[in-house]
Amino acid sequence: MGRTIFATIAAPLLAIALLQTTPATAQRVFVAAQGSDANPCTFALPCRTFQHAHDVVAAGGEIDVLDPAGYGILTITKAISIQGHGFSGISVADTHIGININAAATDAISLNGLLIDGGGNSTLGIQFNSGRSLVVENCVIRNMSTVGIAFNSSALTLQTLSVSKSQFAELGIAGILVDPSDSGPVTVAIDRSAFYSSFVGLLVSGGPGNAAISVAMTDSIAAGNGAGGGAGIEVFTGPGSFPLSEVVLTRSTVANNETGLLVVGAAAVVRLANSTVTGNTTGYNAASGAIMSYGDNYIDDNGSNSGTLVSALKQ
Amino acid sequence: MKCSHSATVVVLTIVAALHASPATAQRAFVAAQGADANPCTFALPCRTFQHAHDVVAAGGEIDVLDPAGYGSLSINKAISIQGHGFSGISVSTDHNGIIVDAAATDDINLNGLLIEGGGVGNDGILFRSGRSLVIENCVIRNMRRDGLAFFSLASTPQTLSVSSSYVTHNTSDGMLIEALGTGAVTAAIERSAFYRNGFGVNVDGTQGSGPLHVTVTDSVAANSTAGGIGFIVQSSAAHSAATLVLTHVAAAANDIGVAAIGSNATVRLGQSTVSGNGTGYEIAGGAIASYGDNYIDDNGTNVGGLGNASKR
Repeated sequence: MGRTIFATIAAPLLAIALLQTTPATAQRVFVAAQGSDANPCTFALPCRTFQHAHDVVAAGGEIDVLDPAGYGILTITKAISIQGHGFSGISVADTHIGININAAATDAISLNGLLIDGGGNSTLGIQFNSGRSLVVENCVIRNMSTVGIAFNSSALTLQTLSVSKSQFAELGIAGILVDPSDSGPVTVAIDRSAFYSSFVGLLVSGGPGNAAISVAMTDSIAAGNGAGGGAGIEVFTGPGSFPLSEVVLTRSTVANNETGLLVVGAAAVVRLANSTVTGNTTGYNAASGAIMSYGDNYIDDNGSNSGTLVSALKQ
Repeated sequence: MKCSHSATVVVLTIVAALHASPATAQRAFVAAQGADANPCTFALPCRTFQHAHDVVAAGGEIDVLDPAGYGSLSINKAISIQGHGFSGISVSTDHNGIIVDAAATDDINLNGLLIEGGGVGNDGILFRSGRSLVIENCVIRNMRRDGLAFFSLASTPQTLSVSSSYVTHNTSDGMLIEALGTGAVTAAIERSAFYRNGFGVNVDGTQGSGPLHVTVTDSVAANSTAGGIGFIVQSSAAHSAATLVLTHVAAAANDIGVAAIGSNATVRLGQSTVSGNGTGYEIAGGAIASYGDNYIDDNGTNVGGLGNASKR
């Protein structure tokens, strides 16, 4: 009799308690092609959309994807990791943003294996407004009339972007735009990534935001960009006295762009090490700003160059 | 009566939606258990790349839901195929895997495809026109002719970008890049491997007049078949100015590692390894300009003299 009462009362209560607490505190949540947002986002009962999974996972938690499918656009407001395994789509409708990041100054965000496609419309891939750090790996972001990643940090503190093994292609403004809107310094590391067939591959826009920007790009390529006045890599600060906006390009290739490297403004700098700049209509344009070479670059077969390279010393 | 009328409208709407949806969808889905009678939606996916291509909007995307083979196709518009590394195309005898005949404004993006020729298929990918072709994470192998034949037939610029792909066991060329028309052709190949082909990368300017400029970085061409060449650029006085820039590459264990054949054919070689080839480099009418920082040893012989290029 005692056991029966216990079973009758305690088991359902326990089940109810689990149902209510699991989504709010789970460190991992799951989404799947056949999931439903009415589910608790567990492995057995996965959800359907990234947004719902984000909303129920604990801060600092992880969204795991179980099958190839599209999982919808989302807004991120906390530390989170999304592991998309290279087969997780985000289809962005016209005038929308794929992933909008409005996180706290302590939040780390990691995105892996996502395919963000904008359908050629006025769409944007990832918009970073605030947070501590954003890591992007194994992602493909393409086919939008604006920007793949817009890193528009708005803080007074340091914010960082790290990109590995990702592809940015067919983007109407830029593959990655680093354009902080406030004075918090921004550091960016880009490794083994490809920028193809966009207006500008990598666009660093310092100046009026008044932030120092430091970009280290290694083992990467910018090719076939710039049709209609763009460039493979452009650093822009405009005239005036601003903190340094700098791109250090190591072991990378800048090929077949309308302009390979373009610096505009007194505080705009590119450093070039062991890199190949070839087949561009204009190889480099250092007419304003500075392009500094370590003397070990392969710069040939461009239509022309503008300005002169400044020597930098290896040590 | 009114009820029936309204029902008729609903049915018409549904019919219209079914007809309209495939023609304008920005994404089309294919799956192992799909059927081409389906509307290529996520819930009701199609079975073949060709049908998905035919129904998706220009500039749209084909998404693959399961590992399977999805058949050969002809592309005639801007499109992206996201194959996730598990989407097969088995090429049958005398056929090509993917043929691209697109407009001068069209961008084509192919990702994660496994194109297998079984020793009988002609070309893995045959590109004849379009604005840009991006190939990433693809495996193209065992074709009777070329892994990729990039034949520019247009008078407009055309560009090829290849990342992280494996091109192996193709009888003729791993990649053949050739200007047949007057449009400029530019190509960038990175982080890719060309194993056991006839020629690994063949930049051929002997047929047309459009300038050819190909840059290969962080890649390798090795173990080509008998008589094979790792990297070759060829042209002639009346034809394309053809340039092949090789930086951070390796040409190893080929009959010839790197070759520049005919006037108008130029190779630039930087920080690259040319080793273990029967002939390391062969310069016959063309030019190989070395930046002086290459690793060229342990080849049977070399033919011709290296020119100099200056690092800056």
